[in-house]
Amino acid sequence: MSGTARFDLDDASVIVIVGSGAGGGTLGNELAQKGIKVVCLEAGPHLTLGDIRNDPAAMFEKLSWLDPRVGAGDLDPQLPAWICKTVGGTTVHWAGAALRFQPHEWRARSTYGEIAGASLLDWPTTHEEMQPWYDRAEKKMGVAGSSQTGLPRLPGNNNYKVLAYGARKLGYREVHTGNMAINSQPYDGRPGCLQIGFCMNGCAIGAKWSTLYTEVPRAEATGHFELRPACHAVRIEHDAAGRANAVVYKDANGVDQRQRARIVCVAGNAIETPRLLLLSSSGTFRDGLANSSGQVGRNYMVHTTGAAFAVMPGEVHPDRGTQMAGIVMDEAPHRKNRDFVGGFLLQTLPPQGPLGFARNAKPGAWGRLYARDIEGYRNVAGLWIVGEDLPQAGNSVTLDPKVRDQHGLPVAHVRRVDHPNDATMRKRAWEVVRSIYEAAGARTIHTRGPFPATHNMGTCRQSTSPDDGVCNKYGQAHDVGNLFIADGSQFVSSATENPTLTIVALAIRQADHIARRMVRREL
Amino acid sequence: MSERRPTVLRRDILKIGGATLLPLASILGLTAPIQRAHAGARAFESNSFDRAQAGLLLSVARTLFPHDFLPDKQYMKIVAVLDAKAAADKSVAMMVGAALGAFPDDFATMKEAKREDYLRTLEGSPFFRLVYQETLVGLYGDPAVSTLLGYEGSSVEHGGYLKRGFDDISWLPTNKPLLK
Repeated sequence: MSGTARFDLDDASVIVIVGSGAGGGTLGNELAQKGIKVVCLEAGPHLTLGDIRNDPAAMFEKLSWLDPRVGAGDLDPQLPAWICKTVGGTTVHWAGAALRFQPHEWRARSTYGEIAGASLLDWPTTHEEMQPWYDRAEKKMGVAGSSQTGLPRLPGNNNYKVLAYGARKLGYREVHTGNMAINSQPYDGRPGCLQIGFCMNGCAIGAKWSTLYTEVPRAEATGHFELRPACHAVRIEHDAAGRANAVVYKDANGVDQRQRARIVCVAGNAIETPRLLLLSSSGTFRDGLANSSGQVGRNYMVHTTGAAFAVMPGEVHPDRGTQMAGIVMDEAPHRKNRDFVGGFLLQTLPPQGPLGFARNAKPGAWGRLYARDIEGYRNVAGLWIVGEDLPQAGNSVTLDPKVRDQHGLPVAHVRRVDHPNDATMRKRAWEVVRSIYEAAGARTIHTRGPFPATHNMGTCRQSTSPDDGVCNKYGQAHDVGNLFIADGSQFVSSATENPTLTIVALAIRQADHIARRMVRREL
Repeated sequence: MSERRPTVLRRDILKIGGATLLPLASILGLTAPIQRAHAGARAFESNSFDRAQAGLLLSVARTLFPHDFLPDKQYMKIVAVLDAKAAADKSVAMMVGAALGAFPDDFATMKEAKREDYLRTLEGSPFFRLVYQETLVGLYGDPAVSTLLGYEGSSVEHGGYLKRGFDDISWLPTNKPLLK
């Protein structure tokens, strides 16, 4: 153990990574393990396990990205997305679902064909070439239910049992407690899950994988990795040849610092990543860095989501145990005989307290009947729908013309509207959910639309042709050879599955690619 | 009077529109305004509303989210929060006063269904939005109420639910093949 490294601002041999979540944290550790020097800039504070509380409101304030943003279209105007600003990024908050893409999801354009209004494209990456990287990701993350770890699936809680009973009664077969990056037994120095609940407030014992207490400290232990928390990247600079050579950031005191760099990797989640590229426009790159295609910020995808809360005839105590405790996968495949393309998953989700239920089960509802539902809080079962969201060129992240953040910089203007395919899929999913809970004996079922998005993707997508996207299959920018996109921004399709496992698998592969190219003096 | 009221209301709507922008966490239903924690700690002493107005607001709050097992004093905490807001901001006091002034004289003694019918006509108004919001968070954000409703709160200090009933559901039909 060499201890935490300290690199000079003028050290031009380091790789600068912006972000410490699923993409940046993983990439940083993978590079540091290979002996490559990394400076990781993280906008948020460095919390520890001791800061985690079973308190949704308090943890929302501690973990979330609450700097101003502007939402437009169908999005909440104040909180267009619910993602994190903290060391570990959204891996502190995520529920742990670790699912591989289905083969067809890497070839969305070929599989679904031309769809009006959708900017579909096939990934330059194939299903086959990703499998070994998924293997490594599952092993790293301790995925329960993966042959790579040998860890059995987690036991199912009450909320899961209601879902499983109803779903099986309807004939669904792929119903189980999911492949989860939550230890079903002690693994990799972290304890087994105690069914505490409150997973999305951060796991208080570290049973759920997060870069906060896995990748980041391991990277630091190599002596090749320096984490700089509360350091907010504001601009990527380049030399006369158009190669990235420094990142300017605001340090914890709001003072501008400039870290020189050999390579720059951006992993700020699919809203801040394109924002940073757009903020980095220059005389050479007038429309933003790496944006000759005009695709930076476009094709913003969030998954087609919705939720349902059902009041059952007996007690469920939905807050007990893992929040994403079970899954129905039968509707996930693409089927030609449906009136929408792609598929959807159903995953349990608790209401998070009577206030959460009252506000969210049927937004705006009140009166005697609704109060009776709230009085049935103990009996509530809940889930959310996660379906493929089609890319649309007009769903986008741009710089807001008016609103500025605490540093005086234009904030992200995030716009999203449903594609007709999304609306049709959601309607069908709600019908399925109603049937499931009715089959389990529900007294009342409330279905509702999306929450602020936790899955954000597509705004710097991979492409074979530099005209169609921002980066190649390794996340390397088409326009700037030593600039990499290391998060969900590089997704070409949203797929049906929760994105984290794929972000981690791509980051491991990207680290391997960068190291090989460095050895060959190509980077 | 009939000349002035629309003017007053229009100005109030603007002010209230700004004042009631929700805290971000409340979009997710996670949190309640901070002032609720202390508002009900003392017996209600009206600063802004008269006795009749306070009584009407109590009736409105109970009609919005009626829980027969809760005493009036629980709902009076919400009236106290509204009273404090009105005392702190004259435009709120005027807006609430004007809305209550237009209520049917016998609102508080009307049957619940009739009270609901009347409140439905107010949905979307600044008055309704304010009272709805404060009632929702004042009730369900109060640990005394959420505990009564079965919310069990933090579990990490008790070792989670692994050995405390995370899978103790008893009422589902015990069809073994289905539940294997």
